[in-house]
Amino acid sequence: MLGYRSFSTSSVSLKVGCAMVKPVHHRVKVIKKLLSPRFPELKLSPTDPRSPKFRPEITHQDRVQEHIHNTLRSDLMLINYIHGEKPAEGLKRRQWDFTSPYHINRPARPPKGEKVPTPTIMPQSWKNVPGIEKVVVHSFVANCTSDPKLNIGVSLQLQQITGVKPQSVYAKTNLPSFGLRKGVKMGAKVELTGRDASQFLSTLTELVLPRITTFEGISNRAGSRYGTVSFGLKPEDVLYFPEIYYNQDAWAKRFGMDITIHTTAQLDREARQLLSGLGLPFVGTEREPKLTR
Amino acid sequence: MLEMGQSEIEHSITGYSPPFVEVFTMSVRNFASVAAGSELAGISSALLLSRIPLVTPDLHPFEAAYYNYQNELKRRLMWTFPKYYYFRKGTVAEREFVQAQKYPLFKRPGVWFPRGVPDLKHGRDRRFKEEVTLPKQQERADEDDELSKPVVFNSRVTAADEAGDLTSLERRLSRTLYLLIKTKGAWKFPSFPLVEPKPLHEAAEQGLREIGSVNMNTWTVSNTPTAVLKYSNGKLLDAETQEKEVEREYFIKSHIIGGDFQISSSDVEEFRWLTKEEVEQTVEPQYYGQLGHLLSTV
Amino acid sequence: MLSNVRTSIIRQVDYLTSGTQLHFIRTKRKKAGSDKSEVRKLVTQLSVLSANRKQPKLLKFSNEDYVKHQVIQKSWNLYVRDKKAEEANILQKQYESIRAANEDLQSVSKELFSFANTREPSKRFPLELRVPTEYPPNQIWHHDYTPKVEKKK
Repeated sequence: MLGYRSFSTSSVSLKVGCAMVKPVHHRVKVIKKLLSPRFPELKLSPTDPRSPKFRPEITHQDRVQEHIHNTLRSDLMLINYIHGEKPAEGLKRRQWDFTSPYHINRPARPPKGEKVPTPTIMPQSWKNVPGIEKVVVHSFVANCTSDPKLNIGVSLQLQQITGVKPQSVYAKTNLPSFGLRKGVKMGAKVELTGRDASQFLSTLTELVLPRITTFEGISNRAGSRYGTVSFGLKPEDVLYFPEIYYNQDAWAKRFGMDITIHTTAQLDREARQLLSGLGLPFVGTEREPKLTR
Repeated sequence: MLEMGQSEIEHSITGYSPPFVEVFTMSVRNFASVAAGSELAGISSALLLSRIPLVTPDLHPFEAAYYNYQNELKRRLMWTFPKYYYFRKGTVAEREFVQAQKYPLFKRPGVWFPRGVPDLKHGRDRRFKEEVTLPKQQERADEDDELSKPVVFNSRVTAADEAGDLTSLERRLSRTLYLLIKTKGAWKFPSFPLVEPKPLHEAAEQGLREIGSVNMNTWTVSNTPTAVLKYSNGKLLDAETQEKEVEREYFIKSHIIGGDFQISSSDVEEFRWLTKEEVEQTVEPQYYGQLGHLLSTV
Repeated sequence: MLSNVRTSIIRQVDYLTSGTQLHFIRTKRKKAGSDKSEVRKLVTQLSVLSANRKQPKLLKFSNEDYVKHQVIQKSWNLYVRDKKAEEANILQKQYESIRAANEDLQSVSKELFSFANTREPSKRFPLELRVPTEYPPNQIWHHDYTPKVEKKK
């Protein structure tokens, strides 16, 4: 039920190097006989209402997703259709030519000019019309090194805004000049899917972004090249989330956040087209990726 | 909500910008002047102009029932509302909130409870879903204060629906509406013969402003045609026809954003904004058979 | 973590320019509990985040209810599957229709074909096309639109 609990996960999870795993205090009764590794078929799936993990999610109409499916997808397919377009091969790892016996078992070279292989971009068809995959809201608070109490506030802020339980984020590297040590709690993040993501996006586009006077749009240059768009909100912008705005006494100290929207689009261009259909404005000039077809 | 900052953003969005107003003075009769041998002869550009839904789709009864069921289960499994976080102890707001709540029965020795022994934590019976009442909802509902008035939603059924006005853009808000026009006694999507070698989408948008009004804001979805119909001597042919000497009609998709379609050409007898099912009943079956899949079911 | 907050002795750090040494000066002890409000606030915040004492009991379905639940879930999955299949089917038909139209256009006019198959840079949906809401706005449609007349050179 709890999955695999290892006693030496500290290095994996980037937490401070102590191998002790804290005991889990069960808030709900666990039927121990169902946990036996001898009878894996007795394990309850999270979709089973008897399982403590059971969470009903399809609780209301999802107007954002319905808009995407009813109106946007058909249009996006037409916009991106180019007749007779061929797949643009991505850069792949270069194999050795095996002229030397030492080439056996030698790892392949990275692609030319890249560190990791790039995906092959397929022409638009009815099978690869982009959609929203998930939204990640991430708050990294630099002051947490000196004031670890801030971790509580930043977690609660994310929980209040998104309605989803946040996970803590930890420093990945040692940076002594910033007082950063590996494994120190440095903020929180939430991963939103389904209706939570739709709710967050519609709050953002309808309530928050229109009220930010300095906001002109998301930069057309922001993105991961392959269908992920990200932008940031400053602590003063976070004020406009209704959960914060109507409870300002409790939120004297607010935290900025980075929002990353993962889409199933193959390129950022397509992802931006999709997001513009949800009411997110974009500014600046767009760079066209160099694709060899 | 988007008024603020929109003017700055507007210029960056490249929608269809209508060409100069002078162009629209061109007469419809000029279309006949294309040379018969030109490759443009027999090509016309049709416009599939739609108004996207303004309200969410109507729920199927099964969907509504399922959402209700899941919502009730979710409320049952929700954590208890942390009222101590929102209402500080000893404040007026806290007192009002506490008074507005209906608290469940608590456990007493020697008392028989028909619904089972209560299991209270933080004032909530953990066996059931929690009902939270906001004090505003009950107390101040009768006051004239603008802020505390209960919210009254606009009706999803509009005046145009009740009047049965088929030419109004305010009908059937939950559905996609398509513009159909009646020319020479036949209902069709607006179609315009190509007079000069210009992109199909520009020809279609310009033609629309000639038969309709200039005061219409539309957004062309793409410069790519979404379908083609082939005619021979004005008679619609099958999609798989092998005939060479045919007239072609390419369909361009577009959405109307603002303004109204008002007839400004004597060629157009009537126009209607119709849903997919209504289009099916209005146009020729063969015409619908080749275009039906382009129309949205929602 | 919380033990850092409550300090009975406030230490002031005086940076003296005379030397590199730090001098800790012991000041007057403040009244006990004077800084409790911050602690209380943090405790409240933590308790909002925690499931402790807020978690309801697990669902306890009777056998009949459990079977009912499974039937509901199964029929919903079928409903969603059919809906998805129908959507994919329509999208496929539209794709075939776009392809056929372009193939035909290519054979008719090279010029029109190239017009129709150039990628439009920075194509965006206009902000006026809103995500549908549950109820209509007060002004349902903006009827009075006049195009911006471009200035002559």
